[in-house]
Amino acid sequence: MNALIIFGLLIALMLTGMPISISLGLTVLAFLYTMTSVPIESVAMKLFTGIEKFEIMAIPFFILAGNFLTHGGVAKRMINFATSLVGHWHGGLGLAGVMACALFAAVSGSSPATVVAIGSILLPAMVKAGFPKRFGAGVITTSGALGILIPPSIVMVMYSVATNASVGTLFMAGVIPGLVLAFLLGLTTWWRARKNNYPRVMLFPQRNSLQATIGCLFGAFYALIFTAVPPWLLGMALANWLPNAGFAYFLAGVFWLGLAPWTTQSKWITRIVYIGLIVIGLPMYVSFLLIEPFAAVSPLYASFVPVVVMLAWLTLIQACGSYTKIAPTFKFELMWESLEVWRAYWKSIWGLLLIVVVMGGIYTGIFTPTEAAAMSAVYAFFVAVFVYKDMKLADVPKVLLSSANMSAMLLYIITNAVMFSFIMTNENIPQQLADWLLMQGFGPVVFLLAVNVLLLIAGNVMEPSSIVLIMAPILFPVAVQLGINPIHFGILMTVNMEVGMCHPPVGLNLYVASGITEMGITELTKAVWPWLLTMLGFLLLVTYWPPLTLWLPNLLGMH
Amino acid sequence: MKILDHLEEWLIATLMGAATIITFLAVVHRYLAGLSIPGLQDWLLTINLGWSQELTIILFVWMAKFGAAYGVRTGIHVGVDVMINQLAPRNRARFVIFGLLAGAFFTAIVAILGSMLVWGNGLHYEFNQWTGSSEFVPEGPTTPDLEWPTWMVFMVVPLGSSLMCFRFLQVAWNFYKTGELPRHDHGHVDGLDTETAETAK
Repeated sequence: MNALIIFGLLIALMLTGMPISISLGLTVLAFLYTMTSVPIESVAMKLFTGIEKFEIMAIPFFILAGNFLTHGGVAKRMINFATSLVGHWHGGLGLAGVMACALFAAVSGSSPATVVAIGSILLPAMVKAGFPKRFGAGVITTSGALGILIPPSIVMVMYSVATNASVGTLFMAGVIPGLVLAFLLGLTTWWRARKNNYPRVMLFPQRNSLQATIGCLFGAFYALIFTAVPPWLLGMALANWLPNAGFAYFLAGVFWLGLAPWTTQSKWITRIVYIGLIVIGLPMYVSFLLIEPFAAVSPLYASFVPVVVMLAWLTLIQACGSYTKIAPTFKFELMWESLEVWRAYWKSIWGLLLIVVVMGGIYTGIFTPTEAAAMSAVYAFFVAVFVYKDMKLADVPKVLLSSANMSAMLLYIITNAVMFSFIMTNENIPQQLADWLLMQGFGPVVFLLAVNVLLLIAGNVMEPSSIVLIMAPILFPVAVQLGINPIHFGILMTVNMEVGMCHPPVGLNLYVASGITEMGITELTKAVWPWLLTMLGFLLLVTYWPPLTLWLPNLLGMH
Repeated sequence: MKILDHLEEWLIATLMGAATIITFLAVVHRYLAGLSIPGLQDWLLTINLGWSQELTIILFVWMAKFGAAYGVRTGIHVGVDVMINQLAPRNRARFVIFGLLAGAFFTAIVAILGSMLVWGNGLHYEFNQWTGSSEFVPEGPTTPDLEWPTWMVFMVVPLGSSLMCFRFLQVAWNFYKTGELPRHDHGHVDGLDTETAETAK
């Protein structure tokens, strides 16, 4: 009975269009005043203590970091990197959009922010390249939703606030579903683009698609090798005479990352470095390794080893690199795609590194999630202002203010939602709901289906943070009683929120995208449907196949 | 009025920045203090930053309360406006005014409750100390790490809520006069439009 009154009042107040935080607060006040003996003075106390948790403070930090990244040119470089990697396939820039969204999602915790960061740069470029506006808008609106699934994620922090689940574990659990969804969205994009024959970004039009793919993979492979190996070797050397090994690796990493991106400043330095390292450096290294077994052989014959390796190597890359079969002469026209990947990679390395800082930091236990968020905010500030210099120091107060504005709104909802969930538990409502469901003999399958439907409906009218904060405390105890893993349930809710952000009437992503593309909401709704269907299919997969989410955290020993 | 606006913006931006820097320094300090670098380590170990977490929380709560008031002015507090948007403009306006006044009402109550909380948590004691009254009032508690009096920290509830109440009334008045609501545009990014040409290939 009380539950009905509480929810009736809440829904009635919400429908008048007043801010959600206010309707929550008024419901709590009215209920406490009329129906309980809980002293109403405790409300003021709760308003302070409700957000007095260090975990919650990850939210403002992540928002701040995201704003610095959006304004600081990180998104732009990530788009270029993604384009250099996947641009030559069907739907080039669209695929690059999906990938750039996934990359940006790995440093930002919010979906609308991802749509803004990627969409405002990529959408005009796509229209210019000859894509229909609808296609681009559809891709970016839905891919931007990855922002809350791929960690870090504000919605996951909200869930952990509401249910005390571990943020770190939730983050890890989001990685694989995020990658799978990115892949599925990419697949949808590719399929649509192939069907309609949309333009591709061929850097070198003479080359066929397979050659380009090999070139790109090659470039990515080398970029990764040359990110990890030199600082590793240097760190090992430094570790001998520095007091702390971790510090040595840190210094080596900083040194290398200062040096390596510098090589992309000039076209010629890039080529020389690239050729020196890859064309000559690698076969030399292999030769060194091979010479040892040949130590017994006379030096004259042993010297054939490097020559043979070098020749074989040059033939191989020439075969992949040139658009003639195997070139009669060894021109230096070797895999220009991989050169492009190489260049774009080093330009975006500062943004990509943040992924490692946040995820690695949380996973290895160097930081708590909140500290990782603070570190990423400072890091993003540093990169935006001092490394990429896309933002002036004078712009910083504006970014601080807009981040504070956004986070204050979220924190205000949290305080009121915490009070709301306090009266819910006080009235034992989740418990009653669970008992009722068990009495009806509903198993987890029916329950999860009902949860999905409920959340999708809620996603029609409310924005994600409020839904999670209101729904999670009610649904969570039921889920636990039905034997559903709390982490799995959290990811399920997050995916639901993602879907909710991409369809009207309240899909925030839609509004943001319509702001960028100047398309109406109705038109945009039609534009997103292929991707939205993909997301719904993915939602079913996540719901009924828990290993998808739980495999990685279990593997890492997090529970 | 302009001064109040600027003070508000300046205050929340500063709180945001300060909290970030403090947490950053605390993490760096903790990490560096674990390294056995002679001299540096001894010096770092003499600094105790155990209070940083508490201070960060306090700064953010303050930021949240004043920021919420700022948010009313910028229209960032969203509600479920699907239904009222279907109504005729005249009726919609009534609902909007109702929503804003409900906001003002709620924040006013919270401000009053908050003042009572602050009064009961040590301000009364301080007040009696100051006036030299002999009436017995218990001294207020202090925060665990910083040992600041809690009434000072809690002060943000009445202050922030009063400001928020004022903002709600201000927005309601403006809406009544001009029919315009502040709207927050999530899609707006400064300075990105000029760069698009560069990335287009």
